[in-house]
Amino acid sequence: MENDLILDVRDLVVRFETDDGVVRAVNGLDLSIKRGRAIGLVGETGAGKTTTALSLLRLVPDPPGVVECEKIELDGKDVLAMSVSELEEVRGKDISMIFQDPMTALNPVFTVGEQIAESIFLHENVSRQEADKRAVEMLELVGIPGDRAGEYPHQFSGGMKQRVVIAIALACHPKLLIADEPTTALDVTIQAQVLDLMRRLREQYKTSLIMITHDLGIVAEICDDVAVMYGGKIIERGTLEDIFNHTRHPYTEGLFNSIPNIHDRKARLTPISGLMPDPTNLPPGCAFAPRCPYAVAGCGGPQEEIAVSDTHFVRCSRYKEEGFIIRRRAAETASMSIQEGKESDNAGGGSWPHSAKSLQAEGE
Amino acid sequence: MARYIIRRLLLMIPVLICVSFVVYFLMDLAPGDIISQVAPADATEAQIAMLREQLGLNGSVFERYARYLWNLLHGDMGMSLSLKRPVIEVFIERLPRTLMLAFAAIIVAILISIPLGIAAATHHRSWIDGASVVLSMISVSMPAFWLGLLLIFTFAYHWKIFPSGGSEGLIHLVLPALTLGTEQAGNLTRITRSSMLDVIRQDYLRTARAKGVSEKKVIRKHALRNALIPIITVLGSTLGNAFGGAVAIETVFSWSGIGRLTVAAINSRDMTLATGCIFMFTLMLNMTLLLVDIAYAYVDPRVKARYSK
Repeated sequence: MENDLILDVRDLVVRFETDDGVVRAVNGLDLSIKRGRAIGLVGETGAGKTTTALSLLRLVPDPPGVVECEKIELDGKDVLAMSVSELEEVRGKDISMIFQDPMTALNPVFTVGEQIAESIFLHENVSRQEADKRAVEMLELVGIPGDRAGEYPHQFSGGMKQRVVIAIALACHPKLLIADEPTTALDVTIQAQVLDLMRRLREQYKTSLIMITHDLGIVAEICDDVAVMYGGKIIERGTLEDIFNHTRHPYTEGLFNSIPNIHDRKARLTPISGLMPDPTNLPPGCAFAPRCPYAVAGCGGPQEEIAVSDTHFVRCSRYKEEGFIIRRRAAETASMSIQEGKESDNAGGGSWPHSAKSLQAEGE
Repeated sequence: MARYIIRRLLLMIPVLICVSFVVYFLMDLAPGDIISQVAPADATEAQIAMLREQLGLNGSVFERYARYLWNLLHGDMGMSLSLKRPVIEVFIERLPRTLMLAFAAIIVAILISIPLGIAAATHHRSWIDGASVVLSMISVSMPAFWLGLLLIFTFAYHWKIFPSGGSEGLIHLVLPALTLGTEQAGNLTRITRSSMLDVIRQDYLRTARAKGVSEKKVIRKHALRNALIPIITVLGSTLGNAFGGAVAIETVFSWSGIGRLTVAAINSRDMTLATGCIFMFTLMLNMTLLLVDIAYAYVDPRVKARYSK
């Protein structure tokens, strides 16, 4: 059972102690990923997604960042107990990261070939020439002609730069890949290409993946599991099916309601009202309560994770009440299921051609 | 790249002509002339006129300047009026000492400021950062001649380790190079610090760390190379300062370089020597600036791409 997990994080807390107060970015996060699975880490800007990812590599800037954690285990190894040199060995080799903005993620004064080869040269016992040769192969793998290895980042377009960043991250075939909004900075056609590329490479190398995004469409397309983050906590997690078709948390419901419904173009969007809570001043209890249409007095109390099924967990104390049900769920029970017909699925606008397809493929 | 360099070299010509014009006329406007120093006290009007003729000082200032420029364009900088030797010969005789002092000072400045600036940036807001700010402020605001006198007092008079002046050997170079180097180090430290601080926050350093590059290499390889452009700019002007601005230091340490030669030429109203020296200064400074611009291209491929357009 233990060996089955590529990553196991228990009670991760990250805060930034700045002059203006303590920013509580991550507040007790548990996350475990099975080998070969892809999990989508979903949430608004500022939910703590990137900070979570950085703390897995122990790359949170310190100061001002303070990371406290019961356990971060990567492939059975305790990341928290590692020395600096052990960490340097793990970074880029066992776990690597694709960064959000390809425009700034590459060093402008080194050729893209050098930047890919550096990773190979550091981690694999090869000569410089061999590393250069493999860097060219990596470039070709991500769809860039190998003879461009001698060019500099400014000679590439945004989409190609992101491919280079992906090539760097995959150069040493990591066991776990963290993709931090890899397509946010790209335009839509390039997004599709990059996602397709990532899916193919993942199949090829059997890499486990954490896909950080605020785009539920990408999650439906790439991921097996979903974890929804809010205020530095995971508030709902489960399989793709659990989250998309059996939504439980009011915040997740709000996310789905904020997506345009392509089958009912006249339908109005229902965005989540209000703003993300100030991370320097988080409300006690459920951080979403101030914006939640279902909030009651009890929401200010401690929020434990409640198991909905073996795979599906939600962090909302209202589920302790008998018969509590959110609107999306009510509509779902009424029309039974998303698979019954896309046309009738307008339960708050969550219409997912992709998800419907992939869920059917899973045979759920 | 070659086209860029040629264009820059051609652009130097009008600059040099302007400088020679301004210096020549300023020298002419200054009261007194070389005759009063060369001619014997009891010389007659006729003798003085003859002397003028001999030294090429007859005619209006425009005529004289036209003659000077014409010769200059043919590579002839004329004879020094006071030393009675070709200007270029005198200049080249003194040049090595000035170059020696300038480069030694630059090396001192680099050895102090680059490590200090990097340490200040990587330990932002620590004691070492504060110390670097205070030290560079002291270094920038302290007059070089005063620091020179302090060094002479300590190392030449008190401890008698180094000679107080002269320009014979390397041992004479130590104190003036330290003085000039320390003076320039302040500015260079500040630039290194702020440029590194800028680069240290960049995303690509995080990418490098995420690849497993060690922190030392992240700073020395990935960050420093990016921080170099402003550093090189200041280094270039520092070198320029060291060529020309070393007069005070050359005087304090009796280091017979070009700076002292130029001041002596101006004092004795030696028009050709003074104009020649300043003309050569300008040429050297321009060449340094060109070298700085070429150095950019080797540091940053984006600049290189711009040059070849």
